[in-house]
Amino acid sequence: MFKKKTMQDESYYLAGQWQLMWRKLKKHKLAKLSLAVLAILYITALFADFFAPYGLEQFSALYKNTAPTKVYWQDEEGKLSRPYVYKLKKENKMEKVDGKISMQTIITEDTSEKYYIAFFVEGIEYKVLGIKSNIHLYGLVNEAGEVDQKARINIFGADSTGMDIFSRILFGGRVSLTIPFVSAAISFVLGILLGGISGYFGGMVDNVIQRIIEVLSAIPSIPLWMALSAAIPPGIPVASMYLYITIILSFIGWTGLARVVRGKFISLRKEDYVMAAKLAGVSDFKIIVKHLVPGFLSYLIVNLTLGIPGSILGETSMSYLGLGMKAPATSWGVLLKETENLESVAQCPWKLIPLAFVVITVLAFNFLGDGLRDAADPYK
Amino acid sequence: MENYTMHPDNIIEVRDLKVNIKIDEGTLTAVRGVNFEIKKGETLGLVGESGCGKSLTSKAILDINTKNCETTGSIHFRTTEGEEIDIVNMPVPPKRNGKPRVKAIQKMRTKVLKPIRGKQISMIFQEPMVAFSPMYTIGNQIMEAALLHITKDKEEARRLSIDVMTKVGIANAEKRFDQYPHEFSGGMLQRALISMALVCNPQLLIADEPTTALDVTIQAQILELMKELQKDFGMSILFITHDLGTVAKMCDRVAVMYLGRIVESAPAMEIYKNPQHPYTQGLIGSVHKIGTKSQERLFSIEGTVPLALNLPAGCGFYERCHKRIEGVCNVYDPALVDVGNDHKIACFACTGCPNAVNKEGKADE
Amino acid sequence: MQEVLTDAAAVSTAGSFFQFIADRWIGYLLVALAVAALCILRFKKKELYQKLESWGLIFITAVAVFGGLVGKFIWILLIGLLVYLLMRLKMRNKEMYRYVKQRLLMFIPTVIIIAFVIFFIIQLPPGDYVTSYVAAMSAEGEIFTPEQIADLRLQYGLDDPWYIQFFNWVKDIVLHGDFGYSFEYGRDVWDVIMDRLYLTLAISFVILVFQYGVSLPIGIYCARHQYSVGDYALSFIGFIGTATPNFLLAIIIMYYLYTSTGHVYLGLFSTEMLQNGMRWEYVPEFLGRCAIPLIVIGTSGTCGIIRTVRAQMLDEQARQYTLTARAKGCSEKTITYKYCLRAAMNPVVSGMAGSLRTIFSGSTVSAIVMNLAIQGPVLLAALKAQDMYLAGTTVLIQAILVLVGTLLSDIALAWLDPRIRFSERG
Repeated sequence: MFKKKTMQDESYYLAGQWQLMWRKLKKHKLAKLSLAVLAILYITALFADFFAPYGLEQFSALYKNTAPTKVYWQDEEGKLSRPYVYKLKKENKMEKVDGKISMQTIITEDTSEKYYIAFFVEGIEYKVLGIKSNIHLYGLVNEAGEVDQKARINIFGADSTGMDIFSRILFGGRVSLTIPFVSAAISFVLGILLGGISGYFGGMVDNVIQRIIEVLSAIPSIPLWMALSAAIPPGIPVASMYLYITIILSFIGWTGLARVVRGKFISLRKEDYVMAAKLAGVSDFKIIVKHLVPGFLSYLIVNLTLGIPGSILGETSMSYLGLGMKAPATSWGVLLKETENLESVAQCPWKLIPLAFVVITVLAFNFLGDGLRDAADPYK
Repeated sequence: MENYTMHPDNIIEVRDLKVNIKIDEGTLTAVRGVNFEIKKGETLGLVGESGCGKSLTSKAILDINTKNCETTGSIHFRTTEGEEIDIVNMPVPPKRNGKPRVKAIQKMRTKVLKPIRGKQISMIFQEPMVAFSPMYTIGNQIMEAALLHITKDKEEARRLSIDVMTKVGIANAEKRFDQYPHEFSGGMLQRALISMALVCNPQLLIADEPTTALDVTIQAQILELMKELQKDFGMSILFITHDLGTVAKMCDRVAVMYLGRIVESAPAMEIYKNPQHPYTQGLIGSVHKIGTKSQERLFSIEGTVPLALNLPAGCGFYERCHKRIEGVCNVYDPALVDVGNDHKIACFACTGCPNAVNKEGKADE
Repeated sequence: MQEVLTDAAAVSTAGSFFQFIADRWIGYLLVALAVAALCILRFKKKELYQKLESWGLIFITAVAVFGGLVGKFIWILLIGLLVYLLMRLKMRNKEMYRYVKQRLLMFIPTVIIIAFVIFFIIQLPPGDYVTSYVAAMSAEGEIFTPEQIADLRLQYGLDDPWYIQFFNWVKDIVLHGDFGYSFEYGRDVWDVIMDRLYLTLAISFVILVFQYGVSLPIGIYCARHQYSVGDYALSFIGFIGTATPNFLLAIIIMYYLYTSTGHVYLGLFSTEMLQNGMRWEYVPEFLGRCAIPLIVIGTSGTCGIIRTVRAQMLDEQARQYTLTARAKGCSEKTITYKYCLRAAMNPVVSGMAGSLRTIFSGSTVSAIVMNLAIQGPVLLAALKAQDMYLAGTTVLIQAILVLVGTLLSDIALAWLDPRIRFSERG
């Protein structure tokens, strides 16, 4: 037992920076939970085709703006049954309003036929990671057990085109979850590069870069993003729209990072080990990459994680204003654009569900960042 | 506990002091039952490696350890008014609704400790560079102590502070009074820190490695200064250090600490002439003395201090000890035993230690 | 059409709100009263005056800015005040004076660079106002010949390359105070902006005060009671606040108010206010309506500040000097408020300009959602219609305000933290 104890001690002392960080992170419950949540979100977004019951082209005029599909657990006699739903049907109704007869279309449940919820059902074909398939996680089958597309199950309701909001959320996650990541990566590289140059060389270069940062960080971000995205030519394909938005979002992110990196460089430049490396004839570039950057990489990663929520919210607001991703593309911001005015929220409150996903993602990144920060702090 | 009376000569008596720190990995007992006392006007040196619990012990006296520390045992202190106060165990305030309220206890402690902290017991810290707040002038921070305890008059407090600053050798104290910490050198800051500790004329001064952060010439000056000031003010000093050289210069008595325990305590000369505990021997052997031959290697103690978390039974020094007795030292914990001449040792293997007799008999149990 | 009408009415009501105060000479009266009070003090009670002087000056500044806003002499007043403050500083504190002077000198080139960057971005979209105008017109059936289009361009000065346009723009601003012409509104840009500037500034300022007023105490509380129930609850609310996009919060709050009261709280002014102009009896409702944007725009920033304050206070509480202070006999209160808070204020103060920036940013989208008569909606419309001088000036003014904020917070920082003051000397 004693021997084992010393072994543990030994491993405690010998653990590298990253190992220690990982160990501390594992103790941070919220951060661990956030990591799990993020993992789920990213996986479902990646395999959206599988998890979503419907593809992006499958809309249904009948289901326009309909509430989440009611799932029944009990049959007519009140006995527990396999969960099933009813199909919707359109009914024309004559009504007397102020003495005038008016026609109203009412959408009601067609209780004549039951559709059962089934797992791993066949649906629209898709291809993900090179695998071709048509199996979806869940879907509806009729009483004969065959796949039937007449009835739909929209667990989060349907939007104004009759698309399943849940499916759209998953597909939208592909855009909304990766844009911030890619733009954060761009900011990261830019920030380290420019901040590093600024801090390491100082003098005139430093001055110029500092002015640029000052200028960029004086302009409020959303107006700046708005102005930049106004420059996106209309009607371009989704892929290049994605690229543009990513670049625009990373336009501001790097300034904060560059400032931090510069500060760190300036303080580290005076350290003895850098002087020692210099005297040993190590090149500037190598000193930066090998000696300076590892010294605060963990810190930067923390910063980066905490910066991601900002760009998620940025993407959402831009799409919301109609300046970011636009209608044929799907992102959480585009989905939330349906809640543009009070009436639509009042009539279809379920359209706010995508907001929950935004909030959860942002919270998860925040908690993860906090956990990482605590873990990266060697004095804790 | 209640009938405890202090020895009339002593100003402070520490009995069975334990400090537990709660950390993520569990509870770390950093101070594991420390006993010592300091007489009026005496200087006690507390010596040990870093991490042995010296600083925690000294902070426990002022009750300024961080919130995750839990202190047990007793620290009896004789106030200027002649009262004997146990700093660790205060009388519990009357219960309300069955349970004594945490806040009421806290309030009570603060009330009792307020006139002691800074006034009767004051402390000098290890690193003068960070001991001052960079936001306020040195004068403001020194004067604060005087304003808290002696006078309400700002002018008088200022005059008092400048007096003390001059006394500790800060030249041009009038001007320096209004300067900020970053305008001071390390040595000067340490002097300022000392003057802050002395401004209320304390009974007991705790000096926690006051010279570690300073260079050698300044060290000597500061030590000299402290000795002089002790004569002038007539106070007792608890001098904490890991440097045996300074102990020899400063202290009347020395207590050697290892892993949260005092392993040997004796008058300063006795410790140097006749170190008994293998750890003390190792420490003294590792000091370079004038006159040693150049071929002689300095002694070094093998291994490192174990982590004080889930410590195994037995003597804490067992793993590193060259005199260890298997079956005894790793089973029983040695107690501090008086061997005469005010010399106390906690070691089974040391000669003259009565516990050692039992080693054959109890080893097999 | 209806929308445009209410919009215009809202704008004029905002103006009338300030006019309402101006008409009653309140602004001038306050300035006069403050000056008179200080004059009396100066001669009657010199000691008290000296204590009050710095605070009094801040007060006068605030009142003067307010009064100045109402009157037309704001610029003269501000410049006068600035010069007076600088002179005073020069007499009292040489280091601070040098620091401030240096920062002021840096201000002008930075503004020019900002103007350049903004103009460059604004002209990026392909085409110009004439293109979008022609497109809009031809959608309505009107057809332009190429000659007419070229004429239009010439008329608007859009036929030059963009850098010439930029040069002309800056030249006109500097020489004539002319920020260009808004094609969309058919008026001078400055007039269009001034319509809404007061309200934008007032709202932003109130939100800023609200943010710090709320988040400082909460942050301190959380740090002092780390890991308590209150700390967890407040931190959680804080996190939720930062994680919810402003504009959606606006919708949710409006939805909630709509379902619980049956009223639609769009904009700052009710229909009665728009019809009858501002009256005393409308003030409570007006304040109530102000609370919505206050909460919506202020929350995310507030939560951010709470977290910064909390983290900073925790950092400072762990510093060695708190130990020294405790050993000296200082009470926990003194340690928190005298030592920790002052040190923790450092990043909080330097974040002040950032908060202003977030407020402008957040208010832009929220204002569009809530139909507030501030600059956000105008900016969006201007960007979409390629009304570039209007869009450019709007962004430029916001950026300059942020820059002024940065300047002020830097000065406050130097005043707070002696180390910064002295490092500038070397």
